[in-house]
Amino acid sequence: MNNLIRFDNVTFSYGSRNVLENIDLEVREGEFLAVLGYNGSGKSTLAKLINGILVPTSGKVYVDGMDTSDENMLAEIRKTAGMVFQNPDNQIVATIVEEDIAFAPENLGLDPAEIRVRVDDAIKAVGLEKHIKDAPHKLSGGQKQRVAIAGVLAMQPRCIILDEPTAMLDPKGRSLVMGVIERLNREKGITIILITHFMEEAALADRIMILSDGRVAVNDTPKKVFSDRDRMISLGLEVPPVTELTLNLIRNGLPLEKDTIHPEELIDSLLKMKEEEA
Amino acid sequence: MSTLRLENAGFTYQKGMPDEKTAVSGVSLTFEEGDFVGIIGHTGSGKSTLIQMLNGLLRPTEGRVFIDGDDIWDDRSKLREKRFKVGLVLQYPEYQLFEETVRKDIAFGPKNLGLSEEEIDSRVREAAGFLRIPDELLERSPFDLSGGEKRRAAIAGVLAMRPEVLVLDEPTAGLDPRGRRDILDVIKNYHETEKKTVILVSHSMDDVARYANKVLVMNGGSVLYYDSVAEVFKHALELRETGLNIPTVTGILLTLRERGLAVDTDIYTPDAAAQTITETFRGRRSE
Amino acid sequence: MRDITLGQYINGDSVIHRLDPRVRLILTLAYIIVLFMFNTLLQMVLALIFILLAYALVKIPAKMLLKSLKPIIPIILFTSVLNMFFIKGDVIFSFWKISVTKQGLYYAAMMSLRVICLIASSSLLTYTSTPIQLTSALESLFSPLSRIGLPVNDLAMMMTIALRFIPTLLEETDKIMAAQKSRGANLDTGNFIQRAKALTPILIPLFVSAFRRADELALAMECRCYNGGEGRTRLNALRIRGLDWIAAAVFTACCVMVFLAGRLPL
Repeated sequence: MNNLIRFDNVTFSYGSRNVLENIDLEVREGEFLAVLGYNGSGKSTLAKLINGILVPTSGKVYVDGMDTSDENMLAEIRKTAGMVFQNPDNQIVATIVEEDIAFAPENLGLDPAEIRVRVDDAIKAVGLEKHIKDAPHKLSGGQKQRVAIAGVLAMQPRCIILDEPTAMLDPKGRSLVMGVIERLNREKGITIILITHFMEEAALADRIMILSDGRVAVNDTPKKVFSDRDRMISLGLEVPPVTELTLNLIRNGLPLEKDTIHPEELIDSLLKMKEEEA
Repeated sequence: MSTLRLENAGFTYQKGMPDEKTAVSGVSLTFEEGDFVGIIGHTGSGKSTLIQMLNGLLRPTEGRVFIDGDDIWDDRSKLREKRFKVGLVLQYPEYQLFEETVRKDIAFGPKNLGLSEEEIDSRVREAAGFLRIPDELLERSPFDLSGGEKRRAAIAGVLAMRPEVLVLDEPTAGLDPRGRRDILDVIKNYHETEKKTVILVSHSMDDVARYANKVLVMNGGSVLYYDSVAEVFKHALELRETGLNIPTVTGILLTLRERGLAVDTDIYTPDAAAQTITETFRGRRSE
Repeated sequence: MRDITLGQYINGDSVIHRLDPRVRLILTLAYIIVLFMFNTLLQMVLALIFILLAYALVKIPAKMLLKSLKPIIPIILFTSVLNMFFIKGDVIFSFWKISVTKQGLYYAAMMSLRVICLIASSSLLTYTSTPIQLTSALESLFSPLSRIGLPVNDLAMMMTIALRFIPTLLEETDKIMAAQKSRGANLDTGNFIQRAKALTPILIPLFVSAFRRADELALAMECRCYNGGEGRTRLNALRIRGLDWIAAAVFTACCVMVFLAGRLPL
């Protein structure tokens, strides 16, 4: 598979301070990458570099082979790699859901009939058909965030970058938004780059990259990443509660794998142990 | 002795209008001095309305609110004085920062109480101490701080009023894991040293399970459960049925039990969960 | 405060709702202009009947209409009284130094009807058009001006964003006020200067937040390929259809008939 996103020795600095330093990163088409790191580790800067909102101080960022520092390619790059931000209120432009979703296709100058099709597809993909004519400010946080995702989907992007999309949501909204993100990745093959502070969300990814002080500290599968609890704590992060519990059990002498990151895994291996015992 | 008591309290928005909406109704309960109460419930369960009644921001449209035995709405002239016994930290409190320096911002509350300069100064220092805000930060503009620091400065602004009851609405929302831990540790430490009542509204069952000694579960504008943590999480199954999250480990234990493993399910911390699971394997229970 | 909606749009599917908003806007303006051209009571009564029929078509309850008229009742009464007493003519009855004349009554009735029709028609426009429809109608009607350099599209986008953010900022104001009140801010008492000063803790956070929001919104718009008004197409492009022509024709026919009715010896 091709690399859809490629960072080639990227450094980005504000004044004399390097926010990101010598970042090399490749994201395959269809991959689900989670980016972790404490506040100020450079995660948001990384996101903004991907679709040309920021341009590297040195090094290059390529989206589907297009150089983000080439101004002529910006529209094409932003169409390919869409962005969803943390605060749903601050990214909804229109006063009616469908008009907001239509915003990007309108900007692209598409035919009204084509816009209609894209809006309808996008709203269906996030499961908000019932709210198509509603005013965004009457929706819940989770619904607003799904409108924001639909607004990006209407560009038919191949990659969506989400910068802490669930940070301001309640658990229900969070799980609905995560459900949509997973579905887009699995069913539509859209590449996902998810920046998050929630370890359970990162556990759903194919790969986790951890930023620390503007450098890549860890870049590996969730299982590998979360099995090193001490490392995670020292990076200002944590491990999912399931992993915490598993580590406790291992300390108590149960023969479990320390890279258990999903509740079902732990439940299955415990039940299997019981069977074997009996 | 400082207790906060609600008697059949309720609140209806737009009362008497065609679009009136009852957010809370018939709530009777007592927050005892020194309790650490976690409030949980869906968005729209009435949590936010409830806590705004606690410090007199909203006047209940039915029932009454008592602080130390006095109805806070009895005597309007004393309303201000009484409401300040309950310190309320709203969601994303950093949006309330406005002064030139952190010090001045923390002093805003005490100043409104009409205290002397010396008293204000000592309260600012005390509150900054609780929130682990170093001295050099006090002279900075609150708008130059990091997200977590802003949050702590805003909470200090409420603590500086020395409330008898501290109410926090999702104080960790939007923070990174380290920021979340810091804030919760600060609150826990404050509760342990001051022995004052703390009420924490949270979406995270894991946090409530770890820090609170009592849990209030709101559902559809009324109280579903109000009891010790252990008692409330005995209803984990019912909680899950109403669509509320339960602590991750409790969820795992429930599933294990459903699938035939004899574990205890009224457990909500990873340590205790590890204990009961280990026991089923070693068969200690039969010994 | 949370549920505030700008304008008074009533969701519906009436003939008037289905008209192109530009047609609604122009017909309303035309109606107001002819109101001032009518000069007999009969014409006014017919104009009133016309607007009442329009209300019946939209199925807006009479209560709503009365509600929108309520604030102007004092004005109607005041001008009526002035007209009644100060217009000279055939005296109907008089007491003390005041006399009521036939002409006075006639003009009072004319004026009142005119004001009522004026309010009723403009309310009907806002009942049947969302703010966003009015914005696009204005954008479209003024679009010729973009040729002489007026940034019509950008102005319309600004209007839209303002409409979108008013509820958000009102909610935000609510929250900030609650937070500062919890810290003892005294917003309700004191003299003018004290009150103005007490607003600082509300206004500063509100401005800071509005700027932050503006910043983030600009970023989000850029990410969604916004590049100014040029080359934009619209999902719900305004289109004049058969229904709009029929409405315009019916309106014109009614106007002509009412003008003719003005010639009747009444």
